[in-house]
Amino acid sequence: MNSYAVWFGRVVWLGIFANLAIAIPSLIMPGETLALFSFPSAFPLLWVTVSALFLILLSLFYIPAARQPLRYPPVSWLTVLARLVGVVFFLGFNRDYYTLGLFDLTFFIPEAILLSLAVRTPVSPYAVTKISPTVKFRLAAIGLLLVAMIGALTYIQFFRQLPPAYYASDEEHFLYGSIGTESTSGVPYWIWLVLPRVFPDKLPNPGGYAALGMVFAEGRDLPVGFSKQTIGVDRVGINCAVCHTATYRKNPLEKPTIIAAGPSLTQNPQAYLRFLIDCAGDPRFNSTTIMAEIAKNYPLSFLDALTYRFVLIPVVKYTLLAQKNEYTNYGMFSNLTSAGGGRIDPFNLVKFRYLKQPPDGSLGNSDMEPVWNLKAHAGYFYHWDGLNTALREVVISSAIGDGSPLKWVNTDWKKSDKESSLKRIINFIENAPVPKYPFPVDSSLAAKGKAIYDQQCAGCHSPGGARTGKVEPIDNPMLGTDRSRIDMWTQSAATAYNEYTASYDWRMTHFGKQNGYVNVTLEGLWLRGPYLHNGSVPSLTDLLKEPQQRPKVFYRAYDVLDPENVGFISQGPDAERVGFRFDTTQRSNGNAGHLWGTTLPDEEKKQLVEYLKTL
Amino acid sequence: MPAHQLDLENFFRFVEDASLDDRVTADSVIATAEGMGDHVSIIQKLILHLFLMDRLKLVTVSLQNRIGPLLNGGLPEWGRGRVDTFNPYKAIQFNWNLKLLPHDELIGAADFPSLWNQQPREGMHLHWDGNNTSVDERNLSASLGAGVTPVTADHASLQRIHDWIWTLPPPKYPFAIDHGRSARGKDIFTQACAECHSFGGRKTGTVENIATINTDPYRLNSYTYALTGNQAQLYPDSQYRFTHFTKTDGYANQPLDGVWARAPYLHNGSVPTLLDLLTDPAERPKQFARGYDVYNQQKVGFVYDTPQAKQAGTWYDTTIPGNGNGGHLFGTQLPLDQKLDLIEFMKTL
Repeated sequence: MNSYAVWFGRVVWLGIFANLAIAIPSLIMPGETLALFSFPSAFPLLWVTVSALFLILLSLFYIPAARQPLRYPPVSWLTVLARLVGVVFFLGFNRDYYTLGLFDLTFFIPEAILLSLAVRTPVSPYAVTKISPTVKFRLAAIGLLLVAMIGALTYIQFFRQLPPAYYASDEEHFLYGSIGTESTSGVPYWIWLVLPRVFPDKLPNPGGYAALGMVFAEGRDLPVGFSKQTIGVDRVGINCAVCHTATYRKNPLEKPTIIAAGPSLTQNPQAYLRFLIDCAGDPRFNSTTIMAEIAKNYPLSFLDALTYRFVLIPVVKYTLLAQKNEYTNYGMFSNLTSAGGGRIDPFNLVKFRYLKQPPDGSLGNSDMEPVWNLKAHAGYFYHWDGLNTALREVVISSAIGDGSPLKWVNTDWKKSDKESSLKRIINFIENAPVPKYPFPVDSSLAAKGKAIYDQQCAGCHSPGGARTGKVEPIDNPMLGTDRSRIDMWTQSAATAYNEYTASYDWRMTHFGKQNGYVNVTLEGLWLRGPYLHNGSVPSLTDLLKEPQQRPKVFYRAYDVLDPENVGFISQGPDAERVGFRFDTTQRSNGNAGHLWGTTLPDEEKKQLVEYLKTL
Repeated sequence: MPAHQLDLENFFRFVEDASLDDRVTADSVIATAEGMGDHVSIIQKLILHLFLMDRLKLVTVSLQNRIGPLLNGGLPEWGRGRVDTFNPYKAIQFNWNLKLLPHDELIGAADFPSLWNQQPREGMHLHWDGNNTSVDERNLSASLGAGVTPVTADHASLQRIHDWIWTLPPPKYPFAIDHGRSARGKDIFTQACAECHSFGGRKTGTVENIATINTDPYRLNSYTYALTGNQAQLYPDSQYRFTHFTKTDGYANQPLDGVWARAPYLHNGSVPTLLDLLTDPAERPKQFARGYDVYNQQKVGFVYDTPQAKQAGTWYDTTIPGNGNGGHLFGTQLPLDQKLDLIEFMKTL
């Protein structure tokens, strides 16, 4: 027997074991095996087990060729032919199963080459199994080449990073620039694009991602707050603008005006995550269905198609389902009050995932905050409960909360002011302008209101006020707002966060635990409804009412302004259709407290509200 | 020229019903074809039997699931010469569940436009509500409506059509013109209409706010901001990606080349002739037949009230939502003689 024949035998043996590795699981757990390979489901499953059985029998008939390839060459050639038939059948006619075709191809090519060489090489009566140095060298070269190719492809398809798009203006960078979240939580672009079209039933309304409150500036394929970077393939991540970009309309038929750095009323990150997870848990989330939808939109290259079909789609499905488990373990997935549009529980995920705090059943639903004009906020407490006092740390920790890896932050923070993504964002939000009220204001009424404001509100809410930017203790009977958000944050979490980045030179040290809510400045107040930290009071007029008189149920996330009461329209059929039903009796949604101004005469309340429009 | 006789909605219904009809099978298709003298090869027969008929029915059911609420949802009929451009788009391209949209948004039928003389239109607000300013993007978007997908679009073929309609002249008015009247009408047109409706007019091709023009608002409202965001994801990652779609607040001022052949008038085809359009809305025909192609030279438009017209056309009721014939009051205050001068001139455009 010559050495080619020996190697042919070895390859055939390998093929036999590989066949058995597929066939035996298919025989025992046909459904699970199909799912593992992302094949379409089959009915009845009997056919899968029968195929597996035949494959095992077929493999047994390879054994003569594997043991003595040249004893009766037609048997060996039939072995090779069987592989070729598989290649043609699966690659040519049954594309959904083309992994199996590639599988057969992997054996067909070396078997065919080795057998051809083996039958041509005269049999040496002496050196039966000795391999000549030339053959050894050739085999080694082929092996090396294969390893190099596989390595290169793996790098190109999964790890190769291209720099994300650079936007010249800081505002555009804030809206669409990458903050590094693509590498940890980026969804491959083509999957991301087609999910709403494959699963419209999992969205609350028609409209694609817009139904989740995402804001598309005209002509952009990614909504505000979403960025794209090539890491292997294009991936879609989120950035700060998801929560910190406001929209408003003056009437229902108008298109929205987009205000970067304003608080979003419509975005619903919780619903987005639940949508992705719901899709992943659906039987339609399989390579066949999703590839068919992608194919309607874009002709993927052969390599990308393979990568999506056999790796990315199954891996994304698995990862999302694993995240569901993770959230469930944290107690964050069910039985909690939904955040709804414009709200988020900003720290619980970080608290459990990164800071390793034990699940505590807390719920921190709170309104998205404006991040404009922050230069004027130096020295203030940040976040609703004042858990940090340094803007730099607030920005970095928010990026980490969005999914930016520490390594990415470390690299980014070393870059210059012009290059660093986070430094550009800080520069933008420090100076971001506050938009003007878009309706006319009655200036004489507002002038009277200003007098009331200066006397009743300015001490806590005006820049330079004695208590502005400081934390108002929740025990103050005049405050007494819903305390869920405060109780979400603990001293232990603050300490852990101060430790979390200790090994970096940009380490964060200003996390603390307060027991109240920050007296915030009121720039652009007209665009910040609903009011209070948990967005539980739809308008300023309602906020100036006794808590018992405030609306108990209303709809939020409908971005049409209400110039009458100042806030957004929160009742009526349109608000109900688009909006999120907010029930103030649910946990974290209490609308009590902040009693200041509630006892003013009606006349003065009107004057005050008129003045508040001008802030 | 606008296909003012085409009843596209009933064509869709016919294809849908016929495809799903039990009588339509591989055998009956083959028998009918052979009965008509066509040769059906053995391979074609095999394909028909093995999967083509099954696929036809599956695809039709899928389409019916998507646009059923439009065709069978009790909405006002499109009638001859009209189409709802953007609602089928929402369902077919993006798989929106139309049943969940507000009922009024599903009413969006509008007249087929003329396609000649596109070159001077580049940069103008195209489509009735002016939601796009690029001729090529408008063409590509229309091809999606006709059934291509971003992957199957034949850009070379579309380019040929582009080249042809780019300079295609509007057809000449085929009847006699009273040149004396026409000359007087020209002065009126220049003074009263040209600013919005002549090439080079200050407001030609721009969007007129709905509050000013005050024509039927349904078509405008059927095109939504949410749809622009979805459209910007069409032809992704290519030079063809849509970047020009915009939500407007009114209807676009159209250039009037070949206007004699573009009846009935207004975006929803609610006014049968030019003379009626120059009449106070309360006096315009409340009901009429559209889709009859005999020309009315006195009023400028197609004959709409004879028994033949009623038999050949579809009945149009202006009191139905989406069919309103109000608005566009320009010229309605002119004396009758000047109106006749004006429409005589408009025959020459």
